[in-house]
This record gives sequence, C-alpha cells and structure tokens, in this order.
Amino acid sequence: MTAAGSVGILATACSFPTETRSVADVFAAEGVELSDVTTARLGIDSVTVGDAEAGSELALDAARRALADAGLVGKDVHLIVDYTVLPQHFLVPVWNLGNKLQHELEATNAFTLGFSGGGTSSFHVALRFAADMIAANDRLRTALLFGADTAIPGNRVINPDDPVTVLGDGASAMVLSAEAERDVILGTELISDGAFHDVCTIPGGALAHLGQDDRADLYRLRIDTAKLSAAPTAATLERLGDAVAARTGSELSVVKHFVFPNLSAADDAMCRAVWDAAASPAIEANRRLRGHVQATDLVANLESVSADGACAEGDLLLVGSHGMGFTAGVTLLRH
Amino acid sequence: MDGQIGILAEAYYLPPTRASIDEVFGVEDVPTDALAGGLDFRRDIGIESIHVAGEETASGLSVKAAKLAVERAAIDPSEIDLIVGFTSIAEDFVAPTWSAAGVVQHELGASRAFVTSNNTGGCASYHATLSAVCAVMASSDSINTALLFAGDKAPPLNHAYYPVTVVCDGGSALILRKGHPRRVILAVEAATVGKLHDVLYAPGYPHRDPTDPCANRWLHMTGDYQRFNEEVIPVNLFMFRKVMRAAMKRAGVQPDEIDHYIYPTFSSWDQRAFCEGMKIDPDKVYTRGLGPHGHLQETDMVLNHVDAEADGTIGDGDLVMLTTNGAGFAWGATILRQ
Repeated sequence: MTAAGSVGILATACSFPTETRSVADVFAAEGVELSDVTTARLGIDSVTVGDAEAGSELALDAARRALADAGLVGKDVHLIVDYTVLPQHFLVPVWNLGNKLQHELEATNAFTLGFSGGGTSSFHVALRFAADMIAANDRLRTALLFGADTAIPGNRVINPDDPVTVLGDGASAMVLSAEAERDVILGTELISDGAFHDVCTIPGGALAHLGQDDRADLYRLRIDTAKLSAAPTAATLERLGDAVAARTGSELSVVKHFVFPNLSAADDAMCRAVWDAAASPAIEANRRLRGHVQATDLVANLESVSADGACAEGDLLLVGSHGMGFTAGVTLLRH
Repeated sequence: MDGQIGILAEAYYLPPTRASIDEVFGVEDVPTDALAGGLDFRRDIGIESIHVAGEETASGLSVKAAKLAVERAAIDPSEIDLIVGFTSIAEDFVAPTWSAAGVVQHELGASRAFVTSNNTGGCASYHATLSAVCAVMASSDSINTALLFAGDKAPPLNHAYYPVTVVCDGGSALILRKGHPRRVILAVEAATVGKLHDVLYAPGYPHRDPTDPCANRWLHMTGDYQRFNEEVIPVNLFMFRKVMRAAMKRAGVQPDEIDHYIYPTFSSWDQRAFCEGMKIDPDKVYTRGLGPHGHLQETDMVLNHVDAEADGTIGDGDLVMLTTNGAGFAWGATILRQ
C-alpha cells in the first residue's frame, strides 16, 4: 500500500543515553564469544546504554525537542503515534507509553495510536497511518510520532549463538504536518508475510509459556536466523522500491540518499546492494557508535544524511527496512 | 468520512466452554465489600456466565472470528489489502515486538495484505483502529478491503475486574469495503486522556514477584480503583458526550435521530448510569449480551452489533451509535447507517 504525498516531516529529534559500552564488554557481560568474523559482520563498536526504565524519559526528551524545533507545543498535537518495538514500562497493549507522553506534553487535543509487530518497519507503519490520517481529516493537522526502545537487561546480543545485531538504547520523535515544506512524504509502501510473524519474538512474558514464568531466559528477544535466512528480504525491498517509484512517478535512479537500519554492516550492505547505493559514512558512524536502536535508527540516520547541508532542496531520500521478513517498508521523501 | 466505506461483514467467535459467574467468583479473589449505592458486585452485576478459551490461544480466537467474517463476506482472502488487530489485553507474545496480525494473515492466506496491530485505546481500540483504517482507505486507491480483528483470552484467574466487570474470552472481526452500501461508516471519533494512563494496566513480566502465590499476577489487569473513582468517573460521561457529539456533528445527525446504541456490557449499573447520565432511552441501548457473556473488551462493539442485527433489533436504514470507553483512558464513538 502507498500513501499520497501531501504531508511532510516538520521536525525530528533523537535522544540517547550518554553512556556507551563497547561491544567487547557487552559480549563479555552476556557470556558470548566475540570472534573476528562476528566483529566484521556486525560493524558495531559500541552501544548506547541506559537504565531499562529510561524509555519514557528519552521519549519525552525527543518529543519535546522535536516539538520545539517545529515551533509547536503539546496542545498543537492532534495525534500521537507510537512506533516502539521493545517492551515498555507496563505490558502493551493494556498500557502504552503514548498516553503517558500525552499527559507529560499536555497534548490534551490529541488521541493516541501505536503499532505492534513491524519491528524497525514500524517507522513506516506509523508514518503511513499518520500521513493518511492527516490527509483524510481536515481537523487533524499535526501528528507526533515516537519510538523509545531500551534493551531487556542482559539481552543486547541478538542472538548469542549466532549474533545478528547488538542493541543500543534510545528514542526518537518526528512531527508530521500538512504544512511541512520539506521532507514531504511522497509515498510509503508496505507488505507483510505472515509466515514470518515469529522470526522476531520474545517467547515468554505473555500468554505463551505461562506455565514457565520462572524461566527468565524466555523473556529475551530472539531472532530465528534460520527462518530469517529463508525470507526474500532483498527481493521484497526491491519490489517495494519499484512500487513506490511507480505510484509516485519518481525515478529511483535519481534518489540521492538511502537510509537503512543499523542492524549490522552485513545487513546494510545487503540493503544497499538492492539499489546499488553507496555506503554512507554518516550512517556507518551511527551504527558503530550506537548499535541497533530499532526504528530510531532510521530517524537518526535521516538526520545524519541531511545534516550540514548534505541534502539539497528537492533531493529524494529512500528509507527502507525489511522487518525481518515479516513486514517490509519503503518510504520515499522529498527534501 | 470522505468517500463511502461500509462494513461488508462482521463476526465473532466465543469458545464453547462456559463458566457461570458463581464458578468465576469461586476461584478468583473477588472482594465482598459493598460498592457505592449499596450495590453488591457479585449479586447485582447482571452477568450470568462467560465463555472461557481453555486451551485455545488468543490468536486462535482471532483467526476463528476472522475466518467467519471472511466466510460471511463471501470474499477470497487474497482480496484483503490491509489487516489490523485491535486486541487490548495480553496476547500470545509480548507487544509491541509481536502482533497476532501475522498469524491471522498466514492462516487466512491473505497474501497481498499489509498487516499490523493497533496497541492503544483499551476497549475503545475499536474506534481508534477504525478511524485509522478508514483514513488509509480514503487516502489510497489501492486499499479497498480491510480486515480488523481482535482476540482476547484472559490470563488464568483474571476474569473478574472488580469492581468494574467480569470478562469473557472470544474474538471478533469485521471487514470494511470501499463503496459498500450497508453499515456505512458516517463518522468515527476517538479521544484520550493521558493523565489516566496508569489507572488500569497490566504490570508485565519485569514486575513479576516470584514470591507471589498467584503465579501470573504480573499479567493481570491491575487497577488503582481509588483513582478510578476519583478521576475517571467524574470525566467519564463528559468524555462520552464529547466524542458522541463530535461524531454526530461530523455525520450531520441530531441525537434524536440515533435509533440504537451499541454500548459495552460491563455491568447492569454501568449501563443504567450511561442511560441516565446521557438521557438516552434504555430501550435504545442494546444490553442483551450482558447476561449470557459479560464483557468482551473491544469485541463488545462487534458482538453486540452482530447480535442486534441478527435478532432484528437493528434494521436497514437505522442510524446506529457504537460507543465505549477503555483503559488508557480512551473514549470512542462511531456512527453507522445500516
């Protein structure tokens, strides 16, 4: 599915804990061997580390700064959308951080939404729903989107037996508006394959395995790497890229900047190969410093590729993520 | 709404096993204190029995309801462009990392759909999700058919939400189609009061107390009922009025034109308070589901609408207001032309 382009990103902000920890220390703390092969594959030197309960403070900080940058206050926000991936302070969906943010920001004219299951692609899901809601409703002019992810304690190396990534902590926020003049959302394409719904899950902590709630080892994010390797991630991204280009009348050959998550160097190379995109030193620097911070990667990388005038007015930016084979998304922006 | 979107079909699934309200109270820790106005939670709630899922999973309840809705719609699942879950209590796996939408897509064979789940709104997630899905459908030429679903299975020993309700297990689904001339969605409104975010919640695994004799209490609905009484109750009818009036204004209808109200089946006293507070004729509020199944979270909206159609209460051309509140705290109102 794709969104018509009439809404843009007015402002973004990211908030990361000040502490970083080397990947070597993280692996050692979790009792995982760090080989040279793994080091090269991950391309991550350190991760940002906060308290497990820091998510709401980081989200609030990012949201406040994004609103300030947009010249808005809480009461200007009509919709708050959560694209967090990891567990929150209380159990979702009974509770959602978006409602707490609404209170803290005094966004009394807003209502809240949040989306589950998309992994990093929840960025695209949130963007798509918010953009369409703004486009479809003349009373809904401004949306605040946010994600706040802090790793489960002792669960930064995903997975210990075959490391796919290392998780850092952080939060991000975006202000969407019908009045934005840059970073206009030309289109978002999304597709899901339910066969891969369980590639990325936390086995415990909900109704499944309730009889084993003393098994703290089940309350760990896991990626089924065998299943993931069978997912046609590159082909799906290519298909979505072609679809968003066709629907928006754009040429992918003129896209100036490509933005992908910081899952690993190997994953970045796979994503770039889809469009023969050059490596971005700014994105590599983010990955090396912070590791993978779920959908916040995409916001941070968007900021980095357009920082210091690196992005000219009218440049096209493509943001892509494969969502572990389950939900893939591609968004095309015009700076 | 811009452009006509109608409910092509809707269905619910209730697991066959039932438990009487006495059986629920017999095994769950339910206080016996009298409620305000001398009400007795056990005696006066008006719920006779509930359905319990037993070995069935929460996502399995969703799948069964979704299959029923697809069957009633007489469509091929590959026609579905968008699937969105709106379950509001604990699922098979932890959200927001996981969503049952993938299971529903896979089991239906809805191969071309994009799927996700909304995780806000509590029982009002029906309205928040409907609002979001209608906007996507209205904004896109390629989204013509959408499936919304929910599947709720209360954790063990957590069917009684004292002093509010007793909850039933089950699933529901509705299929929206652009241009469908029946059950046309005229307006959807949702509102959230964020300061009440922690009045009702489930703590989650990190808050587990290994010494608690109730093994799964970390998954139970947990309420601060002093705040519920002091902060939710005083704004409840105001917020209902706010979303209902906004929906009526958007739909261009007057209160006396509403033929029927679909309202949650929490308790007899809650239904009475809604009718009295909102000055609505109780005969217009569909309450028959309260006795046989109690409260089924966000599925109340679907279940009671389906039943009100099936027993002839709601007929073609009627104007129907579906409205509820939910943890978060959230309120929602939807107006349909049958």
